[in-house]
Amino acid sequence: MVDLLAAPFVACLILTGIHCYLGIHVVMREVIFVDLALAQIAALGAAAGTLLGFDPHSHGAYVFALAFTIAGAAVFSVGRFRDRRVPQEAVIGIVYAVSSAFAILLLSKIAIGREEIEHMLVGRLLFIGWPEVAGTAVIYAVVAVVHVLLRRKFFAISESPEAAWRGGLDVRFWDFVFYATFGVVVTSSVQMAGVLLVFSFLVVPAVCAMMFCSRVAQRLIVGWAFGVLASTVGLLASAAWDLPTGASVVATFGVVFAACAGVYGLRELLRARSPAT
Amino acid sequence: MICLYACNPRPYPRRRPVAAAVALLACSIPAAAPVLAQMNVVATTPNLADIVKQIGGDLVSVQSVMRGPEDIHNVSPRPSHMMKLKKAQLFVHSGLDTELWAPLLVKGARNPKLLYGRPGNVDVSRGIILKEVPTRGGLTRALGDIHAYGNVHYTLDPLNGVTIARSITDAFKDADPANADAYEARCRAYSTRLRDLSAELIGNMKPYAGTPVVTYHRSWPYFLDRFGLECVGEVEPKPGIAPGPQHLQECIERMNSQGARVVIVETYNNKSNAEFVAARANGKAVVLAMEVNAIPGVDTYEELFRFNLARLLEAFQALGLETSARQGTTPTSGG
Repeated sequence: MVDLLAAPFVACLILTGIHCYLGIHVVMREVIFVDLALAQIAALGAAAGTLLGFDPHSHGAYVFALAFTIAGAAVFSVGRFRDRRVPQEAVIGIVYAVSSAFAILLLSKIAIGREEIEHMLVGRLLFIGWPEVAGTAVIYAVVAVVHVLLRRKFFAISESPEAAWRGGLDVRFWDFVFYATFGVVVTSSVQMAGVLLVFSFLVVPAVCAMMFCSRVAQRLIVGWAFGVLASTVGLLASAAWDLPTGASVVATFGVVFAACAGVYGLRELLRARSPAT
Repeated sequence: MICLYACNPRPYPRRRPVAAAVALLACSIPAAAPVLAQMNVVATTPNLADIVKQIGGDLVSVQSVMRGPEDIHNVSPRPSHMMKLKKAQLFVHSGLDTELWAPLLVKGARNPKLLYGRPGNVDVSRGIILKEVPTRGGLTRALGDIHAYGNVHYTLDPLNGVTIARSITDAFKDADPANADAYEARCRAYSTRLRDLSAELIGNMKPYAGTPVVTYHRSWPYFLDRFGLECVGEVEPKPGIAPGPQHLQECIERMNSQGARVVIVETYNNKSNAEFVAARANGKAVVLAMEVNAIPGVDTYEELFRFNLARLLEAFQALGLETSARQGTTPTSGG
């Protein structure tokens, strides 16, 4: 059993590592669903590759998925209007819906489209092997290096795009770099863990950390701790009760979030009362 | 249509439009017009469509709703299928609770000839001896995609193909009595071919008789029983339900303890997952066709069995699983 869950556990750790960090950006930018939209564009790319004769899980299809994702990143960076007349969330929603529809249309031309869409949603965390974990770790490491080098620009834009514009930063260009690297991560992680689990890794640790900390370094450390906790408990629950692994980790993330929200709410309540007493 | 043939006894009236038109006028029964063309048949699956083609030959034109590689339980019919069904004389399906999407399709087509219970609605499960029929009281949806009547993947035994061919032939003879003899002759020839094929392939599998295998979904009992192989487990704990780690561990342990080294996986299930399991038993995952057209090169129902057996033999040979060799290491496994 340990032998079987070792690779999924390490996969969860590296997923936590990069997604918690990206999640902090995404929550600050209020573009929560951008990962769903990028995952959907990646799926559309894979579908286009499949239609052109590549095996759905081959390198050829992966190249298509990446190319589409980078095109999507371009759309998101152009779709940010400085005067916020159209919120970016709207553009993301439109991209999500339209690329889903196109994926369905393309996959209707091949017989196993429906199964492919389902596989993408659920992922295959339990069936992850070491070579996959290693390959993903390399891709994440490259993205992480890019983000460490460009951290000032990315955080300046995430904290206040308006200030960044005024400071003379080319927000559109750096947004493109941000979404392109983000898309590379999502394309790889969705193949491994599925859309639901990737969304949880991205948002839950980041949101939990943001309830309690305000500095980036603190948020990262606390978020990672929550991510590791939820992954460990989720995998153990899956092992103990023989449950599908990905779904039990997502459910555990839900419990962790509820607990954090409870503690946070209680603290706020006490804080509101304390001046009166 | 009898009238038509009295006027024009040639076997394929559609090739002689003028003569046929004269015959029609002479008989002055416009209702007989459809007989001039081929009989339109819609089959749910490519396996059934191929059997229809073998029996009907030039006399019928057949279309399958399912394309081949997908899951038979989850097919999405398209608008064109409804149009085809509207004009069809016969609807050939697997019956039981196999194609849960079929009743909706029939309802939507609004073709009264094809409604369930009418002669145009051909349920080929009649006469099939089903396996894994649930015992009374023990049946709930909690057991997964379980089937109330038993395992529905019965087309994967070529001798069930003989029974199916008989049902289809009887329906053809009722719908088109003028060509009854032609259908009957083709059915007999085809049944002989299927029996010979079955005997030949059982012979090919002899050196590996009793070889234990694991399957991804519970799709293969008819196939494995026919060719003398033994299923010792499934990757899915219950049909259609994803495994948890305990089940997967048990499955791998059972493979190792019973010497099963091949995981049979359907075209619509995740091959990488099957390979993951097989690798832990030092074996191989083999993708087999459940339907005609599921894999390129599998163009007929007969070809399906040749292809599947060839794939399995290839894997067994590569893994050195000959029964005599295996009996040395695991004397408990029956040959």
